[in-house]
Amino acid sequence: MRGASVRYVLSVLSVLFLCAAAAELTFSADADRTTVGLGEQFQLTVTVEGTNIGGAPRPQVPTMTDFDQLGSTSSQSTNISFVNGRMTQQNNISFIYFLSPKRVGSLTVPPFKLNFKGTTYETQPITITATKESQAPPPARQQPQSPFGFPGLPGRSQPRSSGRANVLLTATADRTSVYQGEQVTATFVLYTQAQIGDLGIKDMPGFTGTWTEQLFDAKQLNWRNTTYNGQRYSAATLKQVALFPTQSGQVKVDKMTVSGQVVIDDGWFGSAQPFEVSSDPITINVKPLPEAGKPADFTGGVGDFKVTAAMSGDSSIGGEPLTLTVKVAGTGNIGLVGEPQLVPISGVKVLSPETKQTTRTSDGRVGGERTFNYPLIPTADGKFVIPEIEMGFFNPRTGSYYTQTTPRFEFVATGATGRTPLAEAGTGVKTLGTDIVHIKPGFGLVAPFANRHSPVGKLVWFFYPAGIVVLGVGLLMGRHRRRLEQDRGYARRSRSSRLVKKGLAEATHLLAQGNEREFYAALNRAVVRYVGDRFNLETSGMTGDQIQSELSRLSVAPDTISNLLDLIASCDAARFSPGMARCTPRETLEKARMVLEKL
Amino acid sequence: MRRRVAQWSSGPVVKGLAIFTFASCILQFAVASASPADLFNRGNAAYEAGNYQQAVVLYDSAISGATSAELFFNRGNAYFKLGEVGRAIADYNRAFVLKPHDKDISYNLAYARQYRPDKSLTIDNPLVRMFTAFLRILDVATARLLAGLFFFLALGSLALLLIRGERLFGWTAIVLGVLFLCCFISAASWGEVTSAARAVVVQPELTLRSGPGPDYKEIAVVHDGLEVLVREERPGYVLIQIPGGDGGWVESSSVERIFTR
Repeated sequence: MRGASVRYVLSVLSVLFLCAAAAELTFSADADRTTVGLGEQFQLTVTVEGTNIGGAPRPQVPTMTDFDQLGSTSSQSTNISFVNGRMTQQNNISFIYFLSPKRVGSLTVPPFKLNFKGTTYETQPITITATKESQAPPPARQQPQSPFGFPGLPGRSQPRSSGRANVLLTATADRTSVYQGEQVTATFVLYTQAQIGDLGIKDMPGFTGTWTEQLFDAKQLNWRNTTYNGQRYSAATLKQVALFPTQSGQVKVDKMTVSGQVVIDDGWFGSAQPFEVSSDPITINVKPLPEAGKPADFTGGVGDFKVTAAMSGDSSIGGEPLTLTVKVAGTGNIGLVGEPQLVPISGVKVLSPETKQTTRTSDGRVGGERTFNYPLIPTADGKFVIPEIEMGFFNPRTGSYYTQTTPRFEFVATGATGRTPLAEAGTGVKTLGTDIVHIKPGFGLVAPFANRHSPVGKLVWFFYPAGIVVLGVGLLMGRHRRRLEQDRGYARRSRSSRLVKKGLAEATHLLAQGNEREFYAALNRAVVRYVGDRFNLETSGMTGDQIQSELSRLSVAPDTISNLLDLIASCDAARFSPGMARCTPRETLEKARMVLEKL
Repeated sequence: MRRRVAQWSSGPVVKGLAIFTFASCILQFAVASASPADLFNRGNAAYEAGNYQQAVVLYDSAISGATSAELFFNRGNAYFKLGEVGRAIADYNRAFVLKPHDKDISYNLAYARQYRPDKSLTIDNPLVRMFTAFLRILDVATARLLAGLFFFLALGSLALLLIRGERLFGWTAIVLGVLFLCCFISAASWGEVTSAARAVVVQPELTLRSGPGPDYKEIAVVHDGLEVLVREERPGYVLIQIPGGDGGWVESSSVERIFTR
């Protein structure tokens, strides 16, 4: 309405600038019927009309004890005309109240009040007769059709306006609070008191957030006489749509704008003036569908529906597909009914359905049929059962859900096996939920080495130093072996200590037997051989002097050499002249040990 | 039916903790002298009766006396039923390392990970995953043991070759050396999994800060069950690295290390 308010501001400014006449205002109330059945509703239209009224306030609604106020809407129209260079702005604001009598009898609608520029205006009280019987509104008399059609020049029957032309465009919704998916009918009506022509629709209203079905779209104007806001008008319905909100919250029906020429009768010749009128946007409160009691198989249908189903046959040969047809018919948001869910059938492949829809309107209610054709392809032989299909719907009148069920079907398939691998068929298993695997009953201790902190676990790390030690030993032993093979001196040397020990042991043994002569011989042999092995000399047959010179050459301590020679000499002496021994055999043995150790 | 696991409202948690503490006090006396196998069975009985808190206490006592994949697995289940996804993930990880080929453990670990509010965005390269699975045919303990054993035997063979000089020992050493390398690589591939730095967030919501204290700037908010790496430790605080590389300081008690050093 920004354009409208800008227009008001502009007009107010120009009014001030031109020192135009003071605003004059009429305030009236009018009921569309004076006799109403109990529980029926009638329209009370309160009209604020005047020249150069800017923002007129809303009238004060009196307390009405005898009536229920069911709702209200408002519409506004403005005419700006320039007559002899002077601008006149004609405002017409209508507040429409939908009322319903509470009791039978002669009831009075109290006066509405309006304060405007210090003056209080009051409407006249209206008397309504409420009866028990239903009082259907009298059908609007159809005017003969305009010979020129629509859009075009006005029909002859339209009254010619005298002076002040009044053109209104109203948008009304049959209800402003609905459930999601419930039908709301929006009607756009053009009212005029003057002849109009060149009519064109400038702005078509948009209906976002709804599924829309056209109920009526004027190809030509059918004028009828009617009273609106207490004044006589010619009225023509331009458009009527059924809206089905697809979301909860607020749905807005945008304004509709119509422009054309109005014929002003000011004297002998009529003059044509352009006009443009817009309807007020309508806001519809959309309640979400209740969660309580919502069936699992609810597919979005809101209204009164019946579900039927049929099979194209009861047998399939050679995997030939059958068709399952599910038909939803009735009144409501038929275009928003989703496909029903078929349970997987083992051995039958169900393809996604082909959907067809036809829409019908009767008595302003939208309805129709929506058909779902499911191709069923048997993948195995046998008798198959198609279980009942349940579809949930919502009934906005009762505010509750209901379910429709199709019958169960059976068919027999032959020769289907082998056409399609069986693996493609559904398993028939229905997953309901998942959870963790249950606790284990058996208590299995891990192997001791698996516990890093146990002594056995730590043992793992000993393999590495142990391996290195083993390798080191191997290296040393390998070197020893190679030297034994290659270096004779080394071999003799490494053998010598073992041999001398053996020699000494033998000598000790002989001594224990009391064989002194042999003892000295064995001791002598052991000592001489040891010296040979130790220094890699050929000692057998060497004289004492030779030994002395060889050892001196090998830089053995002279002290040790003399001791050794002394020992050999004493052994020889004891062997060959037993009585000449300088010391006992045991002393000799000790001496031999000492000398050998020195070496 | 799928159970709703997360109960983040403070009321039930506080009440649960109170019951938990009370129950653990009573159980401390009862469990003092029972064998781990006995405690395990009693824990299972408590679990099956729906007393998950009691089951956790019994399993705790059993774990202090024995190492068993089943113990960690069952305690993980009990934690999961209590809504403690983080502790459950830690236990499943411990069980997994002990028995990497147990399908149930892997399944529950993956299942619990789905329940985390913080989803992991890393998608494994299938080739890398196959290669890793091949490397981890052996569990970590066996791989370590065999690596040590083969190392020792390979060097022993080498030593015998040096001592005796027979070619057979040389070939044996080569074969054992190759076996050692295989086991060693396998054990090394487990290093990432068994890293002592691994930890799990065990608090419903955790704020990462730029320093070890409550007054530092907030860096990120993570949730229960997120697997992180502990990068640094200070008294009362640890520096954790979350997947993706970012890190921050949190209180030590808000994360649980999966493996002890």
